[in-house]
Amino acid sequence: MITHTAKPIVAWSYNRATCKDIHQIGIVMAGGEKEFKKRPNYIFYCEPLSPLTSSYEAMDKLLYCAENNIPLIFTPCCIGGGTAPATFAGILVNAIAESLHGFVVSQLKNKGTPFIMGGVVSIMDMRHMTFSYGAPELSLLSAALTDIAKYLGLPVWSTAGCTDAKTLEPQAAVEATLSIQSAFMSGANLVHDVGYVESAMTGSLFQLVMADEIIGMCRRICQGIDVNKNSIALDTIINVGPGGNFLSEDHTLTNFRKEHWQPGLMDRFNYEAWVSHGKKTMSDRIKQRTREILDTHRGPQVSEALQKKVNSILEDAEKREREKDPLNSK
Amino acid sequence: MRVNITEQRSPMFRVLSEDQIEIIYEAALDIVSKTGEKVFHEGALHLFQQSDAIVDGNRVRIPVSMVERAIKDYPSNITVSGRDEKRALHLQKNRVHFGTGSDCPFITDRKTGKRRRYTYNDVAEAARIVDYLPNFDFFMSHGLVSDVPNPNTYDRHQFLAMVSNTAKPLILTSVDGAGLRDLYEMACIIRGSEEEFRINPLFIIYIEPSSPLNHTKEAVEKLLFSAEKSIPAIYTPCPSAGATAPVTLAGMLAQTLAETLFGIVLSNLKKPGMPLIMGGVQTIMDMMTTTFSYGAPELSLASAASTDISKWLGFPMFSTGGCSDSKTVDEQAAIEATLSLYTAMLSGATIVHDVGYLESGLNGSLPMLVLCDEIIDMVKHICKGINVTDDELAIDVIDRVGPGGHFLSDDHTLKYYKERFWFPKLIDRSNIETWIGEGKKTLKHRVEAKMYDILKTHSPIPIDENVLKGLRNIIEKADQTKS
Repeated sequence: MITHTAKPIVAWSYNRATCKDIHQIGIVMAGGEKEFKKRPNYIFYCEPLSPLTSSYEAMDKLLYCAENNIPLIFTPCCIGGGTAPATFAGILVNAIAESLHGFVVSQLKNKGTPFIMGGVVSIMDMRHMTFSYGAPELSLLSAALTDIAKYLGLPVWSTAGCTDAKTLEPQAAVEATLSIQSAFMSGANLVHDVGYVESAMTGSLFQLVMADEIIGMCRRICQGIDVNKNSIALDTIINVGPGGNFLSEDHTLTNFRKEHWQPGLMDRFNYEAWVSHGKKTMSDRIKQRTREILDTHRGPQVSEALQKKVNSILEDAEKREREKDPLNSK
Repeated sequence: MRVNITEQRSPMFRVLSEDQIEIIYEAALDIVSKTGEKVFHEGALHLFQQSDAIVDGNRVRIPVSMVERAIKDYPSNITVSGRDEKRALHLQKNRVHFGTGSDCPFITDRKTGKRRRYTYNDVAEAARIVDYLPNFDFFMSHGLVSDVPNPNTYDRHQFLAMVSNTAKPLILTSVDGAGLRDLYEMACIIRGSEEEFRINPLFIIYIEPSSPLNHTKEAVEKLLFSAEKSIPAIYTPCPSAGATAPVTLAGMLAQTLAETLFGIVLSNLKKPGMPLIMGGVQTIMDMMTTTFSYGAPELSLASAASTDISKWLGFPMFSTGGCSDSKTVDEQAAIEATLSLYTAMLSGATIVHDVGYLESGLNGSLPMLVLCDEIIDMVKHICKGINVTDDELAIDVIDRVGPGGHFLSDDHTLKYYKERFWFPKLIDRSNIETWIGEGKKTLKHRVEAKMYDILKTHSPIPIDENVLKGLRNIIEKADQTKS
């Protein structure tokens, strides 16, 4: 991850030792311990087991992060009707109790260590016994959790852009749009699981590309409407007058890029142009765009020296794990 | 016990603050009173001449005091019901109703897959589907009946196709004032009398001024006739930012409101207090393709802002959602429909129309109706919000189950899950093995299967034969005189 994108990372690992490995890689990539502390390049993800249980490993990782001031997401995954009550208020009570538990432990260890509360809060589909990633309840509960996090003054780890559909299809689009718009409007700080399909069993590349377009649209709505002298444009309205046209007005030319969202994948051709461009559907365009990105976009340049240091941390870790578990050695 | 509790029963959403609404309203008053608007109807000009308005040729400027007096005369509660009077639109603040749009020229033929003109039979089928779908509260024609003897009488035929195939309330379009008169007479036959129609209107008439700031002869004819007969009317500009309105959304809102205010004053001069609904399809012109975009996020945003303004003014709002620029039922159609339906619902718009439009309002899709019914169901579920009561907080249940337990078989779960959880009809949540076993069907497949099923099995409450005869008489007479 960290050698293929320049964007911040949320990382996860099994236990304290691997958690430490990741920390070392983070430090190397940041350019030293001091630099990492000043500007951490990843957040560590860890979760309790709902209801109200934390494994030894989860607590141990949490403590490691607290000891080292590593930003930590502690995120219960409460399934209404399964690992939490079926009522929405009850799901939230359960999730907050678990978050507060993790929060208190982290602050007891190191007061002020960065802590992000969270939760994948959704329901169990009673017909198929799946933890639903597309349910409208996920949108509603996540937004409610965000309200609570704001009240508590903690950053929040929310969920959206995911689906119960198995493939790139309209259901995936409906569910992702609903949850992304909800998360955006709720003001959640970190919205994850964007790109999950099949109820979080498949990490889809196409879903990522589609969600990027959806996020762009939702952002435009959430930017709201500027109401000021320029945007009301009274002079332009007077100038154009009844029956006129705004197309060639200066006001139009100078403002349209700022005021109107520019689609990347959405098609707004007329029918004839759409036919002559090969009747491409959204999924055709998504697939094409995904291939283009993979073919042309290069991640950050990692120097050989840096790569070497990272590799040596990885080698040490592999050696250690082999020795711990002889079944793993070849 | 706790006191002074405020409860939020649904998510809250608004785009404009009261101050912003006032700024936009003041700008609209400036336009109405200083720029003025053009009206192409002698009777209307005459009404203005007899008032305090300043008439200069076709251009009319209206003093602010006249506008503000007129606004106070209008009802903020309007009820319209279908042939089945239980199926009613209760146009009240924050009460949301969904339905189709009107007059799309094209449909994708479901047998050949080819795009062709809309026919009488297509409108009848759309009506039957809407009659069945529980989340549709009213029906507009969806398509434009093209297989008629004369395009100038399409509206009467279209009404017949609609009213005989759904018992839900209707929103109609008409060619001109004479067309509306015929539609009104047909509706009075169904209701039994003019008096009954007045108490319990069967339809709302859709009227559209032409942006910017023009009020055509036909639009004004319809508006004045509606005022005279107390026919609920929507007076709804359809501006596109960058072409027929300023490119900036605030400017488009101000201009739209000015056009609406003009209609309010005009109808008020004819007869104060008619049931009038404001609204508008407010969106942008796509600068790359010059398309009037039905899928743009700006449509959602401007419509929600307009709804904020309507609530502030005390008028019901005719808003837009569930429509797309896509040419087919694909992911784009799903995204655009979801975003606009969700925003419209959250905004509390009274009427949300154009549900089921594809191809930027040119293709009235039948499968899209079925898809949107499911989306509306999801959106409604979110808007039910969260109950915070002792029993739903479930503290004792959490205590009883304890760390590491599960809630699946707990009485509390059994008591609540059916009521609180949303149960999909078309959305799939099976595991991948089941999904593969059942033929890897996507939502589009399930939507189409459902559509066929509805068309095969659903028939609306039949319309009385004598009534039908009366309706046909009016249509025949119109066909003869217009040809």
